[in-house]
Amino acid sequence: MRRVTHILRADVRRFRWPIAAWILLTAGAFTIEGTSPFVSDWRSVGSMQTGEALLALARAITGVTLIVLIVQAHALVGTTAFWLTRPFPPLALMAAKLLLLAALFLVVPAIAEAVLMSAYRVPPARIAGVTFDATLLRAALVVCLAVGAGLARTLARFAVLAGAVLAAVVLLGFVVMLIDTWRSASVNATATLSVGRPMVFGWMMPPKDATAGIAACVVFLGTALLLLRAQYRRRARARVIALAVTVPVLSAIVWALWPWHVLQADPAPPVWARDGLSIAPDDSPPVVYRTQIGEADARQRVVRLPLIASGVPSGWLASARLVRATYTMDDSEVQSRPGSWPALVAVGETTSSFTSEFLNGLLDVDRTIGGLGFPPDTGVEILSVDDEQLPVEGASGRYRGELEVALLNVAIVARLPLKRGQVFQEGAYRLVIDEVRLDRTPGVRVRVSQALSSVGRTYPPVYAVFLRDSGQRVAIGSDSFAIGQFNPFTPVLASSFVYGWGWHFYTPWTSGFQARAEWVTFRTAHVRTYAPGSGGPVEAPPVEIEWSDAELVVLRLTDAGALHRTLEIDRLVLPKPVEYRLEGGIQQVFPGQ
Amino acid sequence: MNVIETQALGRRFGRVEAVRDVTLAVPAGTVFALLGPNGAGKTTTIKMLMNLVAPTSGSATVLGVDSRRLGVAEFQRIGYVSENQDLPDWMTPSELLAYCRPFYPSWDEALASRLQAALALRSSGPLRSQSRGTRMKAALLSSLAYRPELIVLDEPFSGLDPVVRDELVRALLEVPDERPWTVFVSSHDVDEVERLADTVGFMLDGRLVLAERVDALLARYRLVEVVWPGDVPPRVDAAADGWQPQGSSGRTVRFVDTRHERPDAMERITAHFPGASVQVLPMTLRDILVSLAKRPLHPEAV
Amino acid sequence: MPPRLPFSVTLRPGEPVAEQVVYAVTRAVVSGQLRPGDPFPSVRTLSQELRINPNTAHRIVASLTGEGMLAVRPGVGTVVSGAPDATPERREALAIEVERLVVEAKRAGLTLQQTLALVREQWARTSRRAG
Repeated sequence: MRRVTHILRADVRRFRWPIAAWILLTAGAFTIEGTSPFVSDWRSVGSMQTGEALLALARAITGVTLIVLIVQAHALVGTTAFWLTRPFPPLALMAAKLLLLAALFLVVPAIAEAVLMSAYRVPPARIAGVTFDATLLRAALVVCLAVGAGLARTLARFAVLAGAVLAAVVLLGFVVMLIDTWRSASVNATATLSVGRPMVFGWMMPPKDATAGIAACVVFLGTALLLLRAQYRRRARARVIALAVTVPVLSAIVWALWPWHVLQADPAPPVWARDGLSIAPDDSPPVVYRTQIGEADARQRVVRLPLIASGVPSGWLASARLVRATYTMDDSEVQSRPGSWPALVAVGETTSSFTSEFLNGLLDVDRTIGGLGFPPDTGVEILSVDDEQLPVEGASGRYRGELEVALLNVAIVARLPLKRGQVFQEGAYRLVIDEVRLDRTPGVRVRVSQALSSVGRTYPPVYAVFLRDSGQRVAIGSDSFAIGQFNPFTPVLASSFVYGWGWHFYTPWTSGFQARAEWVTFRTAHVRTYAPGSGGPVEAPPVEIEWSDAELVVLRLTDAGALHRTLEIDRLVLPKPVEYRLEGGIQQVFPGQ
Repeated sequence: MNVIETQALGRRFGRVEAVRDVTLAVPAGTVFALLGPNGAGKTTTIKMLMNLVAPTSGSATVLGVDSRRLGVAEFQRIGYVSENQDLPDWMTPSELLAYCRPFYPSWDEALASRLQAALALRSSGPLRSQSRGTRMKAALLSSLAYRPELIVLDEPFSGLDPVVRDELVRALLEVPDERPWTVFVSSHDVDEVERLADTVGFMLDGRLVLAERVDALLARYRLVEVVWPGDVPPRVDAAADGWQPQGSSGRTVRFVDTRHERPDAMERITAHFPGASVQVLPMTLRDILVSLAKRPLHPEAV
Repeated sequence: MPPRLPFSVTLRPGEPVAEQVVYAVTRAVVSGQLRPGDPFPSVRTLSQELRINPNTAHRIVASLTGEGMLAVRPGVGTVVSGAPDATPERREALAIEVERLVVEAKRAGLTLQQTLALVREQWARTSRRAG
C-alpha cells in the first residue's frame, strides 16, 4: 500500500497542471449547467450555449488526454520504459493508476453532480441513485480508455488507435445500416406498421427496464478491468488487443439476453380495475382499411372499432392494444396478428371527442384547446390480417379478441398563480415560474429540473401544463406537450445514460439530472383540427385570456399498469375496405388568414 | 554459481535473426564484457536477459530464475542502465533517487552519497535539460545505490567524454563489498572495459563468436611480423594452425597467431619462415577484436 | 592520473593486468620502494585506483601473498612481508630471461659491452630506490 501511494503521489505531482485544469473545467461545466436556467437574456443564452458546448469539448479532450497520460506514465508497451527493470509490482502500479483515475473521474464529477442536484432540491435518495448510474457508466468509460491507453506507447499513438477504433465502429454501423436498408428497401418510410397516427402512443408500451443495461455495464467494466490486469501483468499486447474485442461483444450479448428484469417498474393495476373495468364496442360501425406496407409486401386489411371502457372513475384514461383475435366466418376462420400501436379507449358515454370531455371535466372548464397530445379518436385496432384472407366486398362473422388495456392516471397536482417565483416540486421534479409574458402568443418561462435513476423502479411521470382562465372557463394546452422531459441526447455532463430503448412518454429510458429553462407557449389563436375521415376541419373560436383570472394547472400523467380483457362480438359486419391515406393534422390559423 | 546462464538463446524479428544460438555463463563475482560492432545483437541479448523482449528460441536464467519470470524479488537485486532507457526526465536527479528508494529494501543511503561524490553529480534541474553524461550518471546512481548483486550495463559509455567515463567506472567500483557483485556490460568500445573485464564475449552478426577470459585471450594472441629475406615470401594459409593472415606488403608478411600459448609456437613460425626476421608483438584486446571482426567466419579458427 | 599507490605501475594494454601488477609490486619490493612492514593497499583500494575488478585485485593480492611478498597480519591488514625468496626455480626462470635478453640484444645489434652497460644502468636504478 505504501508503494501504491508513492506512485500515486509521484503521478499527481507530475500531472498537477492537467489535473487542476480538469477539476476547474468540471467545476465550470457543472456551474454553468446549474446557472444556465437562470439566464433570462436571450442573447446571453446563445453565447452561454456556445460556451457550454466549447466547455464540453474542452472537458472531453482534457479528460481523455489526462487518462491517457496517467496510464502511459508507466508505459506498458515497448522495451524502454523506466519501470520495466525496476521492482514495481505490476498490480500495485495498476492500483495506483486506477485510484487516481477514480478520484479524478468518478469522485470529482460525483461530488459536483451531488452539489448541483441538492441545489435543485433533489431528494437524497434520488441523488444517490443518479450518482450510482452515472458512476457506473463513467467507470466503464474510464477503464475502457485506460485499456486503450495501455496498448499504445504515446498519446499520439493512442489517438491513432482511438481514431481507428472509432472509424471501425462507424464503418460497422454504416454497413449494418446499409444491410438493414437493403433488406427493408420495400418498406415505405412514412407508412408505419400501424394504421392511424404514428408516433403517438409510445407511453402505452411497456419500456425495457434498465437491469439489462446495468448488467451489461457491469460486465463491460469487469471484463475491461480483467484485460487491464492482464496487460499490467504480462504486457502481452497482441493477445490483449485480440481479447479486447470480446468486451463489447460480451456486454452486447448480456444486454440483449439478460432475463431478470429486477429493476423494471411493474405498476400493479388499481384495485377498481381488476373487477370493475370492462370494454365494449359502442354503436358506431367498424371502419376497415386496406393498406399496403411497401412495394413488395402483401396488402393488409385492418379493422378499427371505437370502444368504450366502463367502470373507469374520473381522472383515469385507458388505451387498448390487440393481443390476439379470431374472426369466424361461415366457411373460414382467420387469426389476427397482434396489434401494432395501442389506441385510446373512450371513457364515458360516447366515443367521439371524449378526450375533450375528459379534460373539461378534469379541469372544470367548458372548453379545452389542445390536449394531452393524443390525436382525435379513431377507434381501436381489433383485427389485422392479410387482404386476401377476407372477402373483397366485406364479411360477416363472429369475433373474439383479447386486448391489453393500459391505464393512465391523470391528476391535477398544482395550481400555480401566474407570478414569478411560484414553485411546484414533486420528488425530483421541480418547476419554477421565472417569467410571465402576455402578448399575442402568451407564455411562461419556467425553470424545470428532473433527476431520474435506474434503481428507482418507477416510471417517471409526465407533467403537462394548462393555462386555465376561470372567467371564460377555458383551458389551453401548451405547444409542447410534456414539460421538463428528459432529453437524453444532451451531451454535456455524461450524466444521462440511455439504458434501453423502450419509448416511455416519448423518451427513452434514461438516468441522470437535467435542468433547463423552457418557454411554454399557449396558442390562443384560431385552431383548426383535422381528423381522418371526419369530413373536414373543425374550427375553434379564438380565446382572449383575462390574465387576472388565469392560473397554471400542472397535470401529472402516471402509468398505472395493464390488464387483459376479452372482447366478444357475436355478429360483426365488416364493410368494404377503404384505401388508407395518411391525412389529417392540426393547423394553426392566425386571425386574418 | 552462475549469475547469468543462457542456452542457445535466440531472437528473430520477422525474417531477421538478430540473435542466434548464444550460449554463455557468467559466474558470480566476475565482470563479463560483451563486445562487438553496432548491430551485432548485444542490446537484443541484454533485453532478453532483462525480460524486456522474449526469446524466440533457447532460454536464459538470471539470478537462478528463468528470464521470462523475472519479478519484483529479482529486480530488487538487479541494476540496469541502458543508453536507450527512458528516464523520467521531468525529475531532477535527487527526485529520481527519492522516487526509486521505496522499492528497494537494500537501499544504502551512505552508499548513495559516496556514489554521488564519485560521480561528481550535482542535483540540478530536470533531467531533460541535462547533458547526456549527467543523465547517465543519474541513471547509474539510481541503479547502484541499493547494492545490486547483478549490474547490467548496455552501452553505458557511448557518447560520453573520458572524464565522465572515468567517473562512471569509479562509481561502479564503489559498490562491491563482501557481498557478491557481478557485472554484465556491453560496449562497442573496448578500451573502457579491457581492464575491468574478467571475461569477454564477442558478438558478430547475432552470433557469439568468442567467450573467453581476458588473460587467456591476451596470452594466446600475438601479432607476428616476418621480414622475408627473398622476394616472394611463403604464403600464410588461413586455417593453418590458428594463423590468420593480415596481409603482406613486399617482403613483409603479417599474421595473427591465435595459439601462441603453445610451447612450440615459435618453432612453427621459424620452420615456416626459415631465415626470416620474426617479430612477435602482443595484441591489445582492441587489436584482437578488430582482427576477429575482419576475418571471414571460421569458427574453428578462432 | 596515475593511481595513488605506494608502488609505481603503468598498465599497458595487451598484457594481462594481474601479471603487470604483480610485476610492478615485485619490482617495487626488489628496489626498496616497498619495504618489509609497509602497509599494502586493500583489495578495494587496489581495485578503485587501478580501475580493475575487485576479483582481479583479490587474485593479485593472493598471488603476492602466496609468493611470500605480502602477508596478512590480524588486526593490521596486509603488509609487505619481505623480499621474495630466492629459489632454484627463480634461477631457472632467470636463465630463460637472460637468454631472451641476449637474443634481443644481438638482434638489436648491441655488443656485449653495450648490453652490460644497459644491465648496469638498470641495476643501479633499482638499487637507488633501496637507498
